[in-house]
Amino acid sequence: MIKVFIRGMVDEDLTKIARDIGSFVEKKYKLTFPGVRFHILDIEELSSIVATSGWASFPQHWSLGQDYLIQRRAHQLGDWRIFELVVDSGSTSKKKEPVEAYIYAGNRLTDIKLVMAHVFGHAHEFENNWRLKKSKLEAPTGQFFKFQSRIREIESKVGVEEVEELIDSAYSLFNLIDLYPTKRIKKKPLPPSPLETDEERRKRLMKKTEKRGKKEDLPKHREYDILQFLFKNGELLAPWEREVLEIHYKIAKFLSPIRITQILNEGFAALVDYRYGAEAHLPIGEVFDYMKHRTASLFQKRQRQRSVGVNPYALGFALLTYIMEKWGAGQFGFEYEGESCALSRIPQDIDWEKGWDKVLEVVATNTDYTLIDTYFTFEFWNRIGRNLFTYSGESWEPKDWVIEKRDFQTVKNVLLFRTYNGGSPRIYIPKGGGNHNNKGELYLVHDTEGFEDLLQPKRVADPRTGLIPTPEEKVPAPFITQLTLDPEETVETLKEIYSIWRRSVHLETINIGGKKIIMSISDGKTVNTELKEKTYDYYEDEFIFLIGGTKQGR
Amino acid sequence: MINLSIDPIGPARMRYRKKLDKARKKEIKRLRYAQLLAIKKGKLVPVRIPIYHIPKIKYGPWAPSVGTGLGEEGEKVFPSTGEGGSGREGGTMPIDAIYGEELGKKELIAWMKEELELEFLKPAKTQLREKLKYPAISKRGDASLLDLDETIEAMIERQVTEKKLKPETKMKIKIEEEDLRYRFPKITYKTDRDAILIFIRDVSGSITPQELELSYALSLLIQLWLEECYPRVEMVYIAHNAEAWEDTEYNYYRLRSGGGTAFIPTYTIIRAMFEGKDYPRKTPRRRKITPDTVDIYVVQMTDGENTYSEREEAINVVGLLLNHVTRFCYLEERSSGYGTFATKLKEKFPIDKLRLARAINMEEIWDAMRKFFGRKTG
Repeated sequence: MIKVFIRGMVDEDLTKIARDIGSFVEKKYKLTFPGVRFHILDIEELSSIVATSGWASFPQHWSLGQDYLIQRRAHQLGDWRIFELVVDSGSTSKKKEPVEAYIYAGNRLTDIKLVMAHVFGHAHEFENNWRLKKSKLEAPTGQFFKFQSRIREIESKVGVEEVEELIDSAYSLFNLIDLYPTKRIKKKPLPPSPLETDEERRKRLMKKTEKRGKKEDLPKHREYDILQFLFKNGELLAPWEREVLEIHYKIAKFLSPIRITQILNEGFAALVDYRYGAEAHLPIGEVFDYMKHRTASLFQKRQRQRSVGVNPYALGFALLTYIMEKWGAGQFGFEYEGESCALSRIPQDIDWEKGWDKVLEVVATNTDYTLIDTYFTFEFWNRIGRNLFTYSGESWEPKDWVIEKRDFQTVKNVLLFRTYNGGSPRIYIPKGGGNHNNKGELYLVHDTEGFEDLLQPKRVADPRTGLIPTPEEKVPAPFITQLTLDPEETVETLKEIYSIWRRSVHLETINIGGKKIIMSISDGKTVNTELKEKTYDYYEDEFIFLIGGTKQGR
Repeated sequence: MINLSIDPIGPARMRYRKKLDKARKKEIKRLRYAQLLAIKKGKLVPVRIPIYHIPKIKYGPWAPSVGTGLGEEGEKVFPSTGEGGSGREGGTMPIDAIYGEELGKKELIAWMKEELELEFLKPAKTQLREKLKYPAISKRGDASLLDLDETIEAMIERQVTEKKLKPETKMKIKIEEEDLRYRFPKITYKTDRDAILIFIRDVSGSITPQELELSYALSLLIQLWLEECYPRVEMVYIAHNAEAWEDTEYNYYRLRSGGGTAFIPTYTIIRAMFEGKDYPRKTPRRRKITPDTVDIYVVQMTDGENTYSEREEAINVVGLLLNHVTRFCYLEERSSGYGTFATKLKEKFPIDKLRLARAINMEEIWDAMRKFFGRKTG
């Protein structure tokens, strides 16, 4: 079921073209997708749709107006352009709903054709990638409409400004969601035995009520889903506040996995339309137009000496073509890796069908992290020309950024670091963190375990303010752990969390010296930081005691 | 024109503006700028859009990320040779920062009022205008004020009470004296607060196209500000080189420069308008101004190079005009200092009505506006 809408009505010529492309792509490239509905829009509507990330009925918020303005101005000034936007509105039920796609009307016919092929690639991904399938909703367009109307009702009862403040706090917690949720099997308590005496029964019920009163296990296990915890267990929230937060939690959970499959998505869709342009026997003029269009977006914008950031199209495209060649030529496996002769590594007699099958399999079973982990090899690094480097800086000003390393292993580690959680840190609530100090305070921990393989501490000449140790603490020589959080942003976000939880909030993290600190907020305005463990030279004093010397001698 | 059946954003645009206004008033520190790059006349120019920042927990700038390109280990990513990527330059372009967002008339006026501390102009001269109303009906009056509808209605009522009107018979129209009804006039007085804005623009040979643009921009801004303060503003466009004439709005902004420079013909035109005489013009109608009933604002934009012989006379003529005029604004388009005409003018009439300003490029227009219409600070 493929249709093309323009000005609210079905356009017959374009629908025919779209159906031709769809059938070609389905047969030759073995793609599967539910129906696709294309909408052709002009710049104003495209900017408004991009602001709501593709949903026509989205709960209204001022940030939509802001994003709309930025998109439109960027397009008019030529800074960047969006060609298409695809949303996953297919559902899990048997009655498949079509996927909505929005295309910019300013392109010529060749561009529109290739954008349609690109869109079919995305639609196949939404249908087949395991991580995107896992978080599908039932009838998402209807759900968003329900959210919008429910929030309008609440606004009319409670007031627009109060709801807006709450939604602002919810937006700042959108990245504190568990992207790797695990299913937990709830242990059912054993049923009471029928031979129970009265005393035993009394003891059992007393234990139960005591447990509930103490709230020792709130939560029982580590919780990475902080937004959900806040609205489920926040005691000082009104029912309408809980509902608003729940709606936004559902929205965030539905939209979050796209962040961790971006390189795969874009690379695969670019590969689909590249193949379409090369194999569909388009007339010769269209082929030239297409080459211009495709190369422009595969390379970095404004070719200068250097640019920051990795173009997901370029990286994904390169990785997937590398996979296609390798598996097409049968050059994988133990024997191949053991070969030392470089000549035999050049792919010959490539069977593209086998390679394409492998690509489809990769797309269905990977996220960005696993893709880079498995397929970003030294061979690949040699092929793309060793063009990448890692950089970091002491502040957000681009003038202070310095190139750090150019070797293969660090670049790969940094790419893994950036794709692990969509680039944001992992924060959890430990067991009993919802009732810290037995006063209902919230305790959060910044997860820094497991990053030792990826990042190394580095030495730096002059310290800076912020999460810096005070002069009284003893630190051997200043060095930075690269996992420290941004000081201003954490302070502001803690204030937002306080405005929801309404009791003290503590966050345990590390400072630039590598020491664990606790940042706490108890009145909604100021944040105090303290060291977690006071330094105590335990071993030094013992040594002095054993020798019998004085401290001055040291 | 909306292709989709619903506008997905609708009310969000107004809410965004209200949020920015609220944040500016309360001085919340979350206002920042998003920077986009545009190419204007061969240069990369940063265009800023104001943003209300939503904080999120994220890694600091010490966390590494990946880039592409050449360069050795230890070098800076953006070397400071001028190709500074998206680096922020020190605030040299306040105007671009404002025009980065969608600026409507209201926002420009509000910004001018705040930033330049412009004084709201109170109308000095008012004029009473008569307006006739007919609020009541009476039984006596002049034949010209007869209200026929009301008389016939009164006649019908009288026939009904005397039971002469029956459904079977036809209606007879017979108007008697007691049926007559007249409109009762009432005069109300309304105060008119008008302003007349006279532009005097030098289009002699010594004016460059830049200066023409300058005068165009400044005249638009002044027009905006006056339309904000007065309910009705009339514009008079006088252009001159060695001769002066009144022009229409369409042609005024399309004039090219050429010829000598003389100021006195312009002042004679204004005097002719006051007295009701004819003057050289390219408009279809002659204009008459009664200076006691309206506020008059004269804005003269020249480069100050008129001939020596007419300087003394011109100063005297300006003095005569200043009695009737509310404000006389004189702009000189030169890079530094004032010409002799301007300095002598200010020496002879050191009053608040006469205001001088100097500008050479677009950024100094704002200072000129401040001098013309700003609050006096001592």
